[in-house]
Amino acid sequence: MQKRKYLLKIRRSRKTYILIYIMMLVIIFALGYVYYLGYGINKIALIAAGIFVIGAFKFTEIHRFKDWWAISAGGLVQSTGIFDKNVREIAFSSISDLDVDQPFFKRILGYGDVNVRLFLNETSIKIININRPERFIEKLQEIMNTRREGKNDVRRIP
Amino acid sequence: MMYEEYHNKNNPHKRNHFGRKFLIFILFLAVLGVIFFTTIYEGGFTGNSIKEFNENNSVKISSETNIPSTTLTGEHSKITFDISSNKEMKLEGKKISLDKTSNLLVLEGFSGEVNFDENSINLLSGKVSKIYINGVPISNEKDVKMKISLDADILYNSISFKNNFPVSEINFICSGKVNVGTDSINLNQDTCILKNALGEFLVKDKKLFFSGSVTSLDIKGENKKVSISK
Repeated sequence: MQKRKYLLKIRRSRKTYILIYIMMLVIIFALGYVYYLGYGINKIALIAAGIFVIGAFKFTEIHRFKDWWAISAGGLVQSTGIFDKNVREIAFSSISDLDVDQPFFKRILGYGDVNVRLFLNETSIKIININRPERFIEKLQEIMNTRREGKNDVRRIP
Repeated sequence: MMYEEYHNKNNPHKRNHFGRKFLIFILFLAVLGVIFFTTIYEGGFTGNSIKEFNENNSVKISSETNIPSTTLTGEHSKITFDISSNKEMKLEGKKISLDKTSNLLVLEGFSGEVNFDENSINLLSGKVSKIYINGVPISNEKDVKMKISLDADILYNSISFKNNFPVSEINFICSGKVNVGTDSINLNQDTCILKNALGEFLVKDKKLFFSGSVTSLDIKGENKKVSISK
């Protein structure tokens, strides 16, 4: 099966996991500090720390790759899950409005959520924790406007 | 149904987020706890550098006990090993064969890690300023410390730590005898905790001999509880 081409494909920002990354660094720093003090690092502690750091890193990467959103020539695509995959495609004509949800912490770090609401009273699409959500909305609106104007010369966005 | 209510109820991302974050945080605290708990309560000798030692606050003792499994890290002014097995030693990457049945190794200005139990030396790795192998001195011309490592599981006759060897804590299950002044305490599988020990250690004939000062001595066992400090 030929791989489908999208105009824009996005995933969660790694900034979402900043607290987990800080925890991983604290664990590594704690091991380094114990070593610096001249104490021998216990094997169990080393294994536990290794499992936590590697496990946390794997978890964040798998969690990040689990969901993605894309803008295709026909509409907005949402894919969730790895094993139980759920792909939903919404035509541009069904989209009523877009809004950005950015609490203070996310605003500082430059990421946030985008709510894509629909004309029909059904579940909206929530694009979670993406980098620069305003820019994504601008791009989506630009493509939607082009499509609505009936132009078919939509080009791939770098 | 209002939009927000409908949206929140049907959004899979809203569910279980707090539980997952809480679980990760609990795991994080558990790993940190394991690191510090195992560092503080490690049995045997732990961390051998004393930051402050005041003779006025110390008690003079001597002891003759069994040998705990011991790991020493840090700097040691003088360690003497009487090795009884034919093994190899690496000094600055060069192999030196210890081919005699009894080899006397004196390490001066050693910094690194030593691990031994009552039978053998399991690890010796670090840097040394000067080394005497059966009385022959070896040192670096540039007065730079040399890398040294020994094969694992080397049998020994004795190990001695001289020149007021400092150990911050000795915590082990011991059997033997501790002398405090004129008093003598017999030990039989009792927990022995010596804090800030400074003196000479000799490991010989499957016994650990210590002579020096400690800031506190705690002995806990069946029907026995002794706590000595000045």
